[in-house]
Order: sequence, then C-alpha cells, then structure tokens
Amino acid sequence: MNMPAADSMTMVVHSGDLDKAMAAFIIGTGAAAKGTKVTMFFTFWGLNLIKKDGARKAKLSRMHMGGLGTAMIRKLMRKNNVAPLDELISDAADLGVRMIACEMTMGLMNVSKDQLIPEAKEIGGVGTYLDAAAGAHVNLFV
Amino acid sequence: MGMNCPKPLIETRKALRKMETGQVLVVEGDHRLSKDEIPQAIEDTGDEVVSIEETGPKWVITIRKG
Repeated sequence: MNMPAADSMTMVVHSGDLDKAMAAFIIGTGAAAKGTKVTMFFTFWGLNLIKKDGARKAKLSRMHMGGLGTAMIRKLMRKNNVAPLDELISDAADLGVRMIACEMTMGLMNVSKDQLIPEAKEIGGVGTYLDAAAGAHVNLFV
Repeated sequence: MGMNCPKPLIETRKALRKMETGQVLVVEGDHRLSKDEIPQAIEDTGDEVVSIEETGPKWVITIRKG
C-alpha cells in the first residue's frame, strides 16, 4: 500500500560526516523528487557541507583511518555508481530544495556568505527553521 | 542505465521539471527498486505512467507530464 508523499519536510543537518551527509541528501533529493517541499537547515558541523569544496572534504564518522577509510568508501561509491555528495547537493538545488545556512554557526565559525556554495541561498536562525518545521509532516535531525 | 539509488528518481524528476504538460518522457534503467519507486513518485505529483516494460534486468517507463 503506497502512502502519498508528504507535502513538506525539513531536516536539521548538524553532522558534517560524509556518511550522514549522504543519508541526508539522499532522503532530501528523494523526497523532492516525489514532489515534497524540502527545507534543509545546516548548523554546526553540517555547515561545512555547504562551504565551497566542503562536500569533497567530508570524512566518515567511523573508520576514517587517517583518510584511508574515507578514500576507500569514495572509491566503492564510484564502483557501485552511487552519486558523490557534491552531485547530490547540486541535484538538491535543481529540484528546488531550500538550503538554509545557520547564521549563529556562521558567526561562531567565522564563515562568510561568499564562502558558501551558491546553492545555499538563505541564511537563517532557529525561527526560520521552526516556521518551516511547523508546517511539515516529516522533520528529521541528522 | 547503471545508476544507483536515488539517481534514477532524481534524473526522472529533473527531466519532468523541464517539460510542458502533455509531453512524454521515456526513462530506461536497470536499478531494480527504481522500477517501482519511479511510478510511485510520478503518481504523487499527478503525472501519468503510460507504460512499464521489462526485458530481463532492464526496464523502460513511459511517463506523460500532468
């Protein structure tokens, strides 16, 4: 029995880990492809993912092993035709996913707007996120 | 062809977004789950699945944009 897709969903992307970011963007792009309005809010380590070149610098949460583990997973992903993270981020933008950078984290980590990828068009705070979450049926924290 | 989750779904939707109502999109692939997931996603947005054909591991889904 298929349920209809949710009208809207939100995600707080707190982690900057490659594996968790993959999960976040696969769910986000998948939902957008099903016609769901998706809002992703990038805070703390998650902010690194929407910095220019940030997707390529992301490391595994476990078994990074000084870079060897992460390199191995990226190689396995290519072998299995799993899209790389930077491609999924660009797909998310193409599908109209709203990407918001956390203003507080930007101040804390001294990140300016021009250090962010152009796909992250908005800067916002907890209120911005909560407004989106209040109207959404699916709200995730990654 | 050869794409893995969630790319078949993403590429289908990206293509549909650029199309006009009534236009037809033909999607070919071999990712098994996408054969079921693409039609579900299509129906979610009011687009129409015209046909689904399978030949071995390959499938062809024809969609009309709603």
